[in-house]
Amino acid sequence: MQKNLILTIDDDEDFNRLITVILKKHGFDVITTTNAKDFLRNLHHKNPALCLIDLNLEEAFGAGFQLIEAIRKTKGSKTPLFVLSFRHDKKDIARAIQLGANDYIHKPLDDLVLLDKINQYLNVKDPFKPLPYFEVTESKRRSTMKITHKIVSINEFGVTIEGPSLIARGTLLKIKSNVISKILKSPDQVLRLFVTDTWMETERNMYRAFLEFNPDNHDLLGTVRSWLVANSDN
Amino acid sequence: MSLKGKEILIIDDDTQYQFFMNNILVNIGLTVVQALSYDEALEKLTESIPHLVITDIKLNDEKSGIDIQRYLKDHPKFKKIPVFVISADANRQTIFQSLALGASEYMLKPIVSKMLIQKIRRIFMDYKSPEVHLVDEEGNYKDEFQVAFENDFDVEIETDINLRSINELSCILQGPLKFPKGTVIEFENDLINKMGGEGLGYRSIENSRTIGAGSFSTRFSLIGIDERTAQKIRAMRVTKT
Repeated sequence: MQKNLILTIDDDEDFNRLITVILKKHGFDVITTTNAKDFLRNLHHKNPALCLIDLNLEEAFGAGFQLIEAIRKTKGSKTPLFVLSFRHDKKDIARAIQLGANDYIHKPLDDLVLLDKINQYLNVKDPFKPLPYFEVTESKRRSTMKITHKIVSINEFGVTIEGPSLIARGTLLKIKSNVISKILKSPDQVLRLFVTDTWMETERNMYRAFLEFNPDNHDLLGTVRSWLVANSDN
Repeated sequence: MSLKGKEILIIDDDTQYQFFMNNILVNIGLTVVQALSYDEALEKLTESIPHLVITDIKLNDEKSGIDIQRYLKDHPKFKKIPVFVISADANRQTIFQSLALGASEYMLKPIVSKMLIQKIRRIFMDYKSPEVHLVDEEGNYKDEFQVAFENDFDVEIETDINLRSINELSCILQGPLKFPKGTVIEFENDLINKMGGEGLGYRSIENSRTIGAGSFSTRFSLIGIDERTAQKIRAMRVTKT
């Protein structure tokens, strides 16, 4: 059976030796490279199943970003790309994912995590099942999450937002929006609003939600109303 | 429909009548603003835009309720506000003039409170409240709003969600949101933070599953996990079982 080939780029030779040992032991073929030229040549000729890219290459600090971008532009999104890096900044992760990386793995390397993640992308049906889950005790479950949707319309009673995720009726949201801040003439205004209605825009495959203003907040309602009257055409 | 929070401007030079009206209207949840003259009415209009104007015809100065109607009609900001005339003036010509200027109702004094409330409800039922659509029918943002809001229509949404379970690769979140596969979210949980996972990224591996009314369960892969955090999560699992 042909083994899956993994192509890596990292200017740290010690690390390359280590990763070769780990991956070969688990049945992969490995080609390590230390510069972008060698990496790209192998990428085009050897057709690897997956690539591991270090963000800081000899060429320049953060050159890995440019490499990801270039690969996605020329080769499309087929080959999974993992970023390996010592950099711990949230922004780096976000940027790598945005440019097209499939995952981001920190150094020092945890080989079990790396192997599981590789298996996840290489034709393994459900790689998450084999790893058992730890159930979080009730008192530690509470968390907060943030996501970005778009505002599409405003009336006297509230705002309608749109996005790919459905938000159930009755959910309390804390929202921050440039549009609302501008209308209220109050920068960084945060509003706490309930979702009172939710429906699907079938044509665009997007969900809309109506978030209702608090009817007791007269200042807000008055300001919104003045803006609406000045801007509406009905 | 709810009358709560709706603002009514009452223009009448009779203070006793103002008092009487105020009692009735505040009782049914309306906010009342009072003006005793034409000039005072204009002044109140600069402060806020009422949902309804109730005016008398004969006012305390040279101007009349008809002038109020003309003023509202001439100003784009006010021209859609419904006007309810309540007056003792039964002159046919005045009534016709007022109705021609667009009065929604013309009622003769003395008034009965039940009738007044019913008429107000009627007016609000017919009234289409202003709405601004930032997008056109195809979902594209209209040019004027692209300029006004510098093309930034994002709404950052923050809400509570539960972390049900976790391993080194992924976690299961349960809450009121249903995500499609591939959604990237920002996520904060004390337990994960304590294990050194503050900077982790979260992307859904699958479409959410419905687990109850308005409740969904979704698996998210942990992006950017380091060795130390992975070990801590693993250790937690081992001690548990």
